[in-house]
Amino acid sequence: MKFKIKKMNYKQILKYLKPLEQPIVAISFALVIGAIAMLLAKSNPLVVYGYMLKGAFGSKFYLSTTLAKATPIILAGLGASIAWRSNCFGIGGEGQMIVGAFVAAIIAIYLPAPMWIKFVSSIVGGVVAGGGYSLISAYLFDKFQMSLSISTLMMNYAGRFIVLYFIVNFFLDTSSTGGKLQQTYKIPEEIRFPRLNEDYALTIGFFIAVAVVILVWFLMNKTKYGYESKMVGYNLEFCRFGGIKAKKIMYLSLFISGVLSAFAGVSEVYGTYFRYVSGSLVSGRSAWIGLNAALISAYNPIGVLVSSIILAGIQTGGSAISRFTTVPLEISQILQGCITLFISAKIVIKWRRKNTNSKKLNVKGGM
Amino acid sequence: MFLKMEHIYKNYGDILANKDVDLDLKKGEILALVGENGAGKSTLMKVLYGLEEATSGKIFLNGEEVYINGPSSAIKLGIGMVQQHFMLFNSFTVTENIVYGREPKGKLFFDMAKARQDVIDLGKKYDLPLDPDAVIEGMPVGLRQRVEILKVLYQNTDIIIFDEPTAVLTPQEVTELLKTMKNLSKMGKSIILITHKLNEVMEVADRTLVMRSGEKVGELMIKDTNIKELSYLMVGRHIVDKQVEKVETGETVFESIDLTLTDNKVSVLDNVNIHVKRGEIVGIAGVSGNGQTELVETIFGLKNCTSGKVIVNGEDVTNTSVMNVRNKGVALVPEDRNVHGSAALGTLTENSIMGFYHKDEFSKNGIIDYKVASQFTDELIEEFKVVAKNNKQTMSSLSGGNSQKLIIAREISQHSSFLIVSEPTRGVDIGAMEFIHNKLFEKRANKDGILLISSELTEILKLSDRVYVMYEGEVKGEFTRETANEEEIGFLMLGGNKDEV
Ligand SMILES: Nc1ncnc2c1ncn2[C@@H]1O[C@H](COP(=O)(O)OP(=O)(O)OP(=O)(O)O)[C@@H](O)[C@H]1O
Ligand SMILES: [Mg+2]
Repeated sequence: MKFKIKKMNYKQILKYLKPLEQPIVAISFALVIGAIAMLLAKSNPLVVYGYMLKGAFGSKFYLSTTLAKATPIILAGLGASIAWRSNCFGIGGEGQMIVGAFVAAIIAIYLPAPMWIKFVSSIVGGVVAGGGYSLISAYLFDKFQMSLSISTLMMNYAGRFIVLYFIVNFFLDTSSTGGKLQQTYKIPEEIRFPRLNEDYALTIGFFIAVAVVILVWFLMNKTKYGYESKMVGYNLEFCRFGGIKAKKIMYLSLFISGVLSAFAGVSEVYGTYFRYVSGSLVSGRSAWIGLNAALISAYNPIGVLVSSIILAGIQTGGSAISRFTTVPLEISQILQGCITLFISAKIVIKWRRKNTNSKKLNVKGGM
Repeated sequence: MFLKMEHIYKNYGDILANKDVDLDLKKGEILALVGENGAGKSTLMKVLYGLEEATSGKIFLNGEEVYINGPSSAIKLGIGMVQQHFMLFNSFTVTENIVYGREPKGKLFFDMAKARQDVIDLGKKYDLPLDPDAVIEGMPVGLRQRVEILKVLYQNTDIIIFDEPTAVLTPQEVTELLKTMKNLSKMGKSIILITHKLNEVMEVADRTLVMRSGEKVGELMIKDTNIKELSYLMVGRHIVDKQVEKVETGETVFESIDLTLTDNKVSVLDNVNIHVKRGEIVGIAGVSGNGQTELVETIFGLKNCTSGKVIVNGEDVTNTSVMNVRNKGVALVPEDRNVHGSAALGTLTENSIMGFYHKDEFSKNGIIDYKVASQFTDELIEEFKVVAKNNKQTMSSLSGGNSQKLIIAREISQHSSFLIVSEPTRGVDIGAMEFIHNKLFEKRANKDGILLISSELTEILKLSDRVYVMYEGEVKGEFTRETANEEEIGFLMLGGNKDEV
């Protein structure tokens, strides 16, 4: 057999970079606006961005912090992508993360079993719980036409407080701080995600997340489910005529989406906190940043990976700025705000276009 | 010369959709733009209406060069277009739709009473009566189109573009529309009409421009030409009606027994008993809206019937699922290719495997073999002469007729024993029409059964071995190829009774 060496011309290279086009545009847009804000505040944006870059990726330590931060964002971003791609516009990532993290922590702490069984059942239990939690919204939509975005949003709050109730009443760690912090005991050391290096925050969790990116890419682009869910996102009526059961796809998409978001929470328990700490997942905002990552990359998993890392970098880099310059920490929030703005603008445009389309679709026939 | 387009070029990537096209239009003239699917007719009009920007070329109005960079600038210059897909707000009234975007100003908000009066006056002036307070929702297609026309007239345009306006109309509505066009031209409006129906061209147009592969290949005065010459110019060969060969019919592939559908106490299908045998094309004639759509949907598992049975290849499939019906050997070319037949944003490959992607040929263990799917799509494109660059382009980038060809290709290619085709040649050119008809005959020769629903009586009569006539959800009569005749069928279609004939 002869090997053919493929010559790549620039067109082909561009094709491979296509999924990154949108995130790069969105992020550049944010950086420009951020620069204007800095100029107004009389700082030199180049210097500030220089610090930011250094603080995010400039050393092994910073890089590992950024990647550790990116881990739950990637997973939550994948979760959002799976749902949104098939027109299930849920925003319940946070609730699913919380439920997943909580269930995983409780199983890991209390299940009387050998370590590896503990480990497997804790992870599986956590993600399935998150998936199941997401299915409630699917059911509410299916049976009562309750809007997915509303029900998932409510479920975020519900999840947070139900879990808090259980922790305070049944699973509170009363040893260390006398129960002042609303948190569980720690999970056994043997089963935590190992760090690559004791001094750095990075655990194997990040690499698992990268593996999940590849898995989700495969799921979206090669499998029957991937085809069906994509087509459901494109044209529901066409799917009905083609024999695709849209309801089944909705349940499946929301379940997988819940599983992935829950895994984001589980990875925080296993790699960052080693316990469930009430409020930590909310203040970390990974679910929402993940949704941003999904939106700017148009649900492309590779795009989600890259933009999650950049978004995490903006966060870690942002705290570096406040350490080295007089520019306040809030600059990273401004940048994120701009990215969200960019996304919303895109969604509005899309929504308007879709509206005109559906206006067209109301009439039969035509060319 | 009133309007002049000069040396218009338009390319989409490597595709040259318009190649050095010149067009001119006089005041009060009706110009027909004809040509094969993908010839570039819609593209040329999109350039004129500002929906697409020409790669190069010039447009002159009254001798002055004009730059059109969007529909609003076209409208300002007096160029309007009756969209193929009506752009109407369904929950708004006729008046609101017509004045939308240019409402007469009142003291604070817009002056509704004046708007209403304007619409009434406009209707009177152009002899296009409409109820100004009617809501669009539920209006017949012909009336919606009238709203569109009035909307364009309200914009005070002198040039009106119609892109395949008759494709979705009933024969009566077509007659009305053609009358309207003549009327408008008499009142000084210039009209550009795109159509595949050459008899319409002969009836209303003053002049015609023939396009092929992006180029203008002919320009003729209607009084100096005829349908034969036009069709020859369009497709580059003569279209001859083939003698239909006889095919021995086999066992029954499809049968409906007392099929009844009641929707909100209204009887939509009333004890429909029909059947199709192997080697047979059975036509359903009827004015659209007499239960044909619902009949197809109940057969195909898209709607549950109230009572009765659907039998496919001897098996009862009544009220099961689309997937089950498909798996039993039924395929469907739906009436509306944009809404039910394709996903505009999907690639040609993604569109070509819908309904069949789960078959062993395309997928194993839940994994789709896109290599096979892509090859399969290329075969469809080649066999059905779909004008396309490659199978990765989106469905929306195909011309109207070409997307129809791909949909038909998809449903025929799976060798289902029973094929339902609804309006198979809507929007395709005469060459493609002949081609599609031949494909249907081929399928019949392969001893498959075909149920044909078409609002074109000529198409029904040409293709069908047997014809059922439907009126208000009932089968009013049955004819064989030998006994079928236009007058009698037409009479039954309009609600006449068989014994009165
Ligand atoms: N957005 C697009 N991207 C790429 N190619 C396009 C696009 N729109 C049109 N084309 C191509 O341009 C050519 C001309 O298309 P056009 O729609 O003008 O044809 P048409 O004459 O209106 O055909 P039909 O009778 O089928 O409607 C076709 O080959 C079509 O595939
Ligand atoms: Mg066209």
